[in-house]
Amino acid sequence: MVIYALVHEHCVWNEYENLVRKGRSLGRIPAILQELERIRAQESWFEIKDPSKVLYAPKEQVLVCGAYAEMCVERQVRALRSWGVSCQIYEAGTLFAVRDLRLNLPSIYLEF
Amino acid sequence: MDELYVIVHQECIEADRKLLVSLGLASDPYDRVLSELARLRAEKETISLPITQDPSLIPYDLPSSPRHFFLAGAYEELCVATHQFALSEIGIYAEMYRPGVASLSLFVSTLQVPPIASSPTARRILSSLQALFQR
Repeated sequence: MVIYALVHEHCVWNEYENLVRKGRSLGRIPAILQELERIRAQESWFEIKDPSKVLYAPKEQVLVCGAYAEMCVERQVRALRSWGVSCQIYEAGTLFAVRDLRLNLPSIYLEF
Repeated sequence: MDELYVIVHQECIEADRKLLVSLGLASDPYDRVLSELARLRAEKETISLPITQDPSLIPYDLPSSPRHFFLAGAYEELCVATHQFALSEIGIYAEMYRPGVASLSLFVSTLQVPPIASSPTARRILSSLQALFQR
């Protein structure tokens, strides 16, 4: 049994609208939105507004999704783990700032 | 024209600062941003957009008279930029106030400072970031 934690889904929509407006490739975003829609319709889930807080610490494994992976989704993973909850990022339903939006990182990063 | 500072998702800076401290890393860049935000709150007119609020929305009352809008908070490339666009949609030009803004680059570069390699949590975050960046 798994349960999904939805973190800042609105950010995925915001990026979708932003890319449409700029006429740029949507990449994985439509698939992510579709997966989030499926989760809401067919799976057990709860929504998180403040990702640093644990509102619900279930016994089943939590798959955390939404946006952005490196920030708020990761933050919720850390928060859940601090409560002993088994959890991981669910990539199919998660928008990555670096991979999906291709935000620039400092050159030192490439040397790491 | 009077200045008005909109501080977006300051909680992210505080949370990531705690992460850095827990990893034994220097939190100086975050401390500087947080100090600047504290100064702004004390000396300037500010509006806060908490983490629970969608940055694409403007959930506060706009001033009745024209103001020079500045944006601060986190993260520059994500939520602060989103809020900047939201304001521009209603005809308000808001300038990034650099001393009070945390960027994604700052977050990543701060995590890279030694002794990062000795921390499993930091290693996990960074290796996932690195793998994603190289895809």
